[in-house]
Amino acid sequence: MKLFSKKNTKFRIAEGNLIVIVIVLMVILSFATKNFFTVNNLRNLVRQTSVNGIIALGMTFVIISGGIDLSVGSVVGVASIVVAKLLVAGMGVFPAIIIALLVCVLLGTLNGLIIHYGKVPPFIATLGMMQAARGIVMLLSNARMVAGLPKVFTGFAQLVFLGFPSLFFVWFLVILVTFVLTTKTIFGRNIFAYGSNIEAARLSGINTAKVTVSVYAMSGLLSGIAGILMTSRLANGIPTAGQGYEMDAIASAVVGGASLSGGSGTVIGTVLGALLISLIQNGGNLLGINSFILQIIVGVLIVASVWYDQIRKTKKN
Amino acid sequence: MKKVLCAILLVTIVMSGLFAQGAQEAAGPKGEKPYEIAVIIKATDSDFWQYMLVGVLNYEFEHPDLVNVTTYGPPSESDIDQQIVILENVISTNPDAIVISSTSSDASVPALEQAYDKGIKIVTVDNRVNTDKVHTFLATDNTLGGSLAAEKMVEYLKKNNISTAGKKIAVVSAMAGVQVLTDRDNGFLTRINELLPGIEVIPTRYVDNDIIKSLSTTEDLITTYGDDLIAIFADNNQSADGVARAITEQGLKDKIIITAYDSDPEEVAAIKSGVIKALMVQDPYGMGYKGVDFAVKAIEGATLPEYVDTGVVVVEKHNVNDPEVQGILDPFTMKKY
Repeated sequence: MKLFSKKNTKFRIAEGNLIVIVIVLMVILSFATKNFFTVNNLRNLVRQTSVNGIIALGMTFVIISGGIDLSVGSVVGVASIVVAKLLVAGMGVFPAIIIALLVCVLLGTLNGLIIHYGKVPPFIATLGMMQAARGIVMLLSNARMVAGLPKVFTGFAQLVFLGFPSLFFVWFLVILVTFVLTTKTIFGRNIFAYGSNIEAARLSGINTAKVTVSVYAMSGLLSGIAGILMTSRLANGIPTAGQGYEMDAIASAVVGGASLSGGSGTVIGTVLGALLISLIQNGGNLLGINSFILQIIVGVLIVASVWYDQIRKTKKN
Repeated sequence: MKKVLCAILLVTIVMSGLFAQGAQEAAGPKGEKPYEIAVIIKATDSDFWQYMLVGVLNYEFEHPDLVNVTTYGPPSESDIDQQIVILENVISTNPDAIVISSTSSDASVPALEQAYDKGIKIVTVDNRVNTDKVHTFLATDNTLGGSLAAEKMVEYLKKNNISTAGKKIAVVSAMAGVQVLTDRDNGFLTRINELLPGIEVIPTRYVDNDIIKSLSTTEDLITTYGDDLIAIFADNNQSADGVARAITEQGLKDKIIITAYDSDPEEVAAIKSGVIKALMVQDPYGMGYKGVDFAVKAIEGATLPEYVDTGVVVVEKHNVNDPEVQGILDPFTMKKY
């Protein structure tokens, strides 16, 4: 138990740094551009971050458990096409969403089963799923967009409650649930234990099959939710939806302090990581910075944040 | 020892059999009807290339005794190496002709030259390949299409009484470093500077061919430049879909004029609702149909022009429902097979 509490304080320091960076960047942008600190732009910012933010939280679970999920982008595509096809076929909005999410959970569960029982490394299992799931998307859609979605469905992403866009509320709900899961439940603690040392976790009686399968199922579910939100926002089922999103999600989690060797990572860190990456894009656009330079900045940020983390760890030891 | 000898003998027999087979294959195409024609597209994951295949397969359906078409393609346009592997495999089957839209202008050169030397007729489509060993090249003049988009933009700015003095225009490009997109952007920029001298063009934004990124970028452009932003050019369907969605969400269709390239259902809906004013649409169906037709002509010994322009059609609200335009917008409606 001591091990975990010590780790937890360390995370708070990492998060503290990130919060400072995010706030400093926001202050700079507020002064440097006349439009950053406007309701409209802040609304845009949270809306732009929501999709990646949700996927990145699923990824955080997987990374804490010592794995990786490269299939998230393709699962976003699956959710998008399945929900769109069902809606166009005349199914009600709720059943269509539920079925699409179930399909995504199924794909995630399959990842977990293959990784646990087949002993296939997560990188390989999910790489295969990434290909296969995208193949399913192309097969179902014939590589064509699915149009003609009902207004009830497409209207959701346009809604604004209490001044916040609806996408943000979904993201916020996901943040709450995942935060409670990782910090307050035995399930969450088991994921950390499993990610730190699989053998020790197994010997201490943790049901490792359950942990593995549930983290990948969770990642599938969250990618599915992100895919459905995206479909609602774009009013179309899009076969190429989510391509490359695994990289954004991994980047957000890693910048947020998650370690690819497992055992560390936090929900708040990932949220801040996702926010920081969006902030750089949004701020860069507002300032009119060359987009190639922005790409370089994001690349440097990813490496620098992990490097910084390593330096801090060695100092401690 | 005996076992080893036996094994060596067996391997030799099998290998010699294979080589003999290989030698037969290397003899080159047969040149008998129906002609074997291999069509290799850039990517199977996009509407555009699927449309081209409709043209190809319609030609086959209409001329069953003349051609026998086989179609190939890697899953995505980024799979340059995979397309080369497909090309090499296709060449080893000795078709009479290869119709290819090569993703890379250089990577496919050695294989295509080898095929040409074997007597296989080569028709390149959409993307020029840096070798003389091709029989003809069919493509859209993208620079011209870009300049058409600029002309239409100016026309609609006038129609909507939008003043251009001291205002700004943006270009949202799907991806950096893709030749056809660069041609479109350059064609647009050159013409818009001629038509509206002194207009400020905001540095091009690139959106990774991702609709949601295009949407975010457009929101940011609107936030930054506000009323100063009067027009946006989007250089393919994914970038245009994002731009159109942002303009729809913010109800700015009368304040910001959009012209764009390509067509997909979302773009067509945007034309109908007046959010996009004009679309420059290529004719992938025609590329496919004519591509096979030119391949047949080459097999039969005709001399072909070095370059054939397959043209751009301008789609606007007033002609979007015309049957010819419908066929170009959605070649699936013309499917015969």
